[in-house]
Parts: sequence; structure tokens; C-alpha cells
Amino acid sequence: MNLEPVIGLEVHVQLATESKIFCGCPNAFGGEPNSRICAVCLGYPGTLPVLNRAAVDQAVRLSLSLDATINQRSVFARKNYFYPDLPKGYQISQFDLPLAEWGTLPLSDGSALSITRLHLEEDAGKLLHEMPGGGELPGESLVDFNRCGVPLLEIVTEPDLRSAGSAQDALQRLHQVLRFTGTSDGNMEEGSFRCDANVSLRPVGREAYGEKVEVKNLNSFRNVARSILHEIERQTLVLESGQLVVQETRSFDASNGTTASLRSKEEAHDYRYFPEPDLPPLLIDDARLQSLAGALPERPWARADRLRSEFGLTGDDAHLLTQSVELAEYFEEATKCLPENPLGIANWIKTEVLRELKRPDAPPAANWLAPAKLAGLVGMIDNGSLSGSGAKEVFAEIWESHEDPHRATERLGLAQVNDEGQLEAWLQQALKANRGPTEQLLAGEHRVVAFLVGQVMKLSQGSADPRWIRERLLEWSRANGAP
Amino acid sequence: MLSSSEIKHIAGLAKLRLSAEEVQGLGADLSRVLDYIALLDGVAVDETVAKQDTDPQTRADVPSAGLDVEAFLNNAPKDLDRFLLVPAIK
Repeated sequence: MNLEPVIGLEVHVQLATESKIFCGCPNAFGGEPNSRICAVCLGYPGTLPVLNRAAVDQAVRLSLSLDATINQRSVFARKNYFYPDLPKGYQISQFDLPLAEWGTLPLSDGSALSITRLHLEEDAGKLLHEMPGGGELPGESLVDFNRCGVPLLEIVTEPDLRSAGSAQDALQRLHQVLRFTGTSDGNMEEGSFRCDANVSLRPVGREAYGEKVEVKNLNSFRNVARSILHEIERQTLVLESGQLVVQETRSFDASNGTTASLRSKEEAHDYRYFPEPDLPPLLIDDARLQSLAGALPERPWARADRLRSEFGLTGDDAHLLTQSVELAEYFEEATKCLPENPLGIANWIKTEVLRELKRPDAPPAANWLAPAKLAGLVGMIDNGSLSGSGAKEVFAEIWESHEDPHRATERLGLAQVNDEGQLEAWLQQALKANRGPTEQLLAGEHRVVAFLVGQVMKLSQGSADPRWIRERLLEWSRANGAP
Repeated sequence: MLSSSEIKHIAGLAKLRLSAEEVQGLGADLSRVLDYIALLDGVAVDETVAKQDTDPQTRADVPSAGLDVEAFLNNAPKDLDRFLLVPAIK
């Protein structure tokens, strides 16, 4: 049986706001447990939610960035379930009238993933099943309500993905979009970007979908791909042995790369959605929609296109430099300091900077070497005051120390001498001290050039530009009768 | 009249364990509650319109102080290191 995987994604994005979605508690991560709570997000009797305008704006921005259609009238709904992380006994979400529908996410291979819907909702609290330090907690769980009421945009895609790799790509692209538009910090470790994957298999050529499994607990792009690969393998074995896949929710265990059943369809929740009576329908008028659409931050693919046309980068380089908003900003900032050589800066970022950023202990963007200093370094190569290899040495020195590149060059004695009188003197000195090779050079034997360049470099203690010396030697030999 | 399986389903969602007698009794009680609420079906509400001229329905994104954690935990049966302590969730 030739089986094909069918994959759809559900992503929860915490929106970048100062306060929670229905109350004034700060929207932040970490801190003391239960330090950002109030009567509203705890659902105390008699309290009423009031919608945060900024959460709506961020959600609309992100929806528009995915070319989704905004429903100018959407409705909040109560999703009822009983769980200790949900003090009200229901989550305020959206159900039959979501904020936005039918978006598009461009993928790396040129195809596009359809987005079914995007809706606003509030996050739940957090449960801990062991002590924060790691101690056992038999028979009990800890509850921290700080996350209760943090604004979320839930993004649901069509089941149009056919491989684990394309699912990972889609998530990375989506993550890129929200980072470029500043609508979320997208921090996966802190849970700002959480993903569930729906995976099913069907015989190739059949239109109807197979029984689907929802995989939860995916906290990295790589684990999304791993869990999907595992599910494809597991479901293939089930189907090939003549059994049926059970529709259920499974949890991914990153330690061994497998999934385990959380709950089956029979135990699935009955959420009893109904319109939230405490909130009026959310209306977004034309003026607000137009102002948000008009001020939409540049999306990653648009930025890559602009880098190509504005700075003459290749498609690959533009793609590389827009893999994160920080890197794109870094490139453009550096280019402002050295507008005459954007390609040189791009090359340095591609090689030296990216090499540093791939290290496990790479600093956050705020602690990268200032773009002006990188531009200064590239400028020194361009004006001949520093050799390419010298510049690499200087870069390695200043990447962490943030020292000024000119000062570091001086301190390391790597400054190239540009004084042609001085260079000529060293050259003549080298020729006089090496009669034999000089004769050979005059006889047209170019293999001695490297030796003579080396002699001049020695006299200059490495401060001469070897390319200049080489050209000058050849020029001198021709002027003195060499063929 | 709500069936006993409907009552058991609702009780399950509310994490309630009911005896056979309670299922019987609640079936009758809940059915009466629903019958009473069904009076609303006879009221014409289609014409009800919320008029909003200025946007009173939303708030500016300004953080404000909330509840003191002590006051919150004083309402809880059990707590530990500023956390609420609840029976284990599997």
C-alpha cells in the first residue's frame, strides 16, 4: 500500500503587548509565581473582561501579513472545560466568527500553505508537576496563573502539507513573519510560539482523509519534524498490519522521539461553545483596518526582494540575510555606515558573523558587535589599511570585546602600511639582499616572485600589502628589462 | 426531559460523580430549569442593537497593578512557595 501523509498545523502565538488581553495585568514571562494576577484574569465573581485594543491590532497585523481576510465583525465565545489552569472554567476564544480567515503562507520551495482561520483567545495558566527546582511532588500539582489571559492568536492551517520537512519549513516561515512584523517575540522556550500537528495517512490517489492524530508538546522546529516522522512511521505500521489508526491526541516525548496517547476521541472534550455574553462583538471599522494595513511592517520575503534590488545581493544571500529580523537589521545598519560596499558587508556577515552566531554560546542580538564596527572593519580592508587575513584576526578579537576595529588593529600591529615610499624602500632593500632571485626575476622566472614578496613582508613585519608588493615587483622587473 | 445519559455526560464534563438517585433527581430538576429558560424563546430579541458611538468596548494597552499574592493565596485551600497547590493532574 502506497501511503501519503496529510499534515495540518495549529499554532498558538502569544501577541506582543504590554498587558493581558482582558485585564491590565502585565504580559510578561517568568518572575515570581502568581505575581501578575487580578480579579478579572482569575475570574472572580462580578468581574468583567475588557478587550485590549493593542492585542486586536497585533492580531490584525499578523493576519494581514498572511494575506488573510479580516472579519470586520467577529464574536468571542466561551470554550468550556474544567481544568486547574483555567480559573473561570472556560476560555474566552472565538468559534464560528473568528477574527480572520483564509490566509496564505509562502513556503521556501515556492509553494504556499493555505491558512484556514486566525482567532483571538486568552492563554491559560501553567501547571507544574514537580517542584520548580526539580523535586518530587507526589499526588499534587502547582498552579501559576501569571500566563492566564495573555493574548493569543491561534492559527490553523489547511491539511495541505505532505512531509515533515515542509511542516518544519512552514513553521519557520510563520515564525519569521511574526518576528519581522513585531507581532510576537516568538520565543519557543518561553512558550510564545507553540505548535500542534495533525497527522494522518491515506492511500495515494484517495481524496478522503484518514483518521488523524493530533500531536502536542512540540517545543522546537526540529521536534515538530521528528514527531511527524515518528507518527508517519507509526501509522504506516498500524495500517500495513491491517489495523486502523485511532483518532486521538498524542504527546511527543523529545527524549526518545516517540509519541504516546494522551486521550482518545471518546474522551475528547465537549467544549459547549456559546457566544461570550460579557463581550460585545468585535467590530473593526474601515478606517482602523486601513491604517493597520497601511503601516504593516515589511514581511520577510518582501524584505529579501528589497535587499536584492536595493543592494544587488544574490537571491541566496538575500534569503540568508533575512532568515531573522535581527540579521536583516544588522545588515542594513552596517550598510548605512558603509554605503559604498554592501556586498562586502554581506560577505562578512555570511561568513564571519554567521559562524559566530552558530556557536551554542552565541550572544543575543543586543550583544552582537555593533554594525558600525563591522562596517568600520570592512572599510579598512577597502581602503587598504588592513589586509583580509588581518581583518579576520581583528574580527575574532573584537566580536566579544566590542573594541573599536581601528584601535584593535593598532594594538595588534596589523595596520597595513600604505606609504609607497616606505614600501618601495623595503622592496629595494629586499632586491639588494637577494641577488640570485633578483637575477632570476629579471630573467623572467616568475616563480621567485612569491619568495621576494615574502622577503618584503618580513622587512615590513607583515604590514605591507602583499598584493601591492607583488604587482610592484612585476612592474619593476619589466621596467628593468624582464621579458 | 433530559435523559440519564445526558445528565451523566454533563456531570462528567463538570467532573462530578453522581449516584443513581442523584441522576434521577437532577434529570427532573435540570429539565425544569431548561423549561423555565425556554421562556426566552418567546421573546423577540432580533431587534436588540448595541449602539456604540465611541468604542467603549476596548481598553488601552496600559499595565496596572493587580492582586497581592497573599490576598489571593488566602482564598486557596492549599499553597506552596507562592503557587496554588491542587490534587495531581495526570
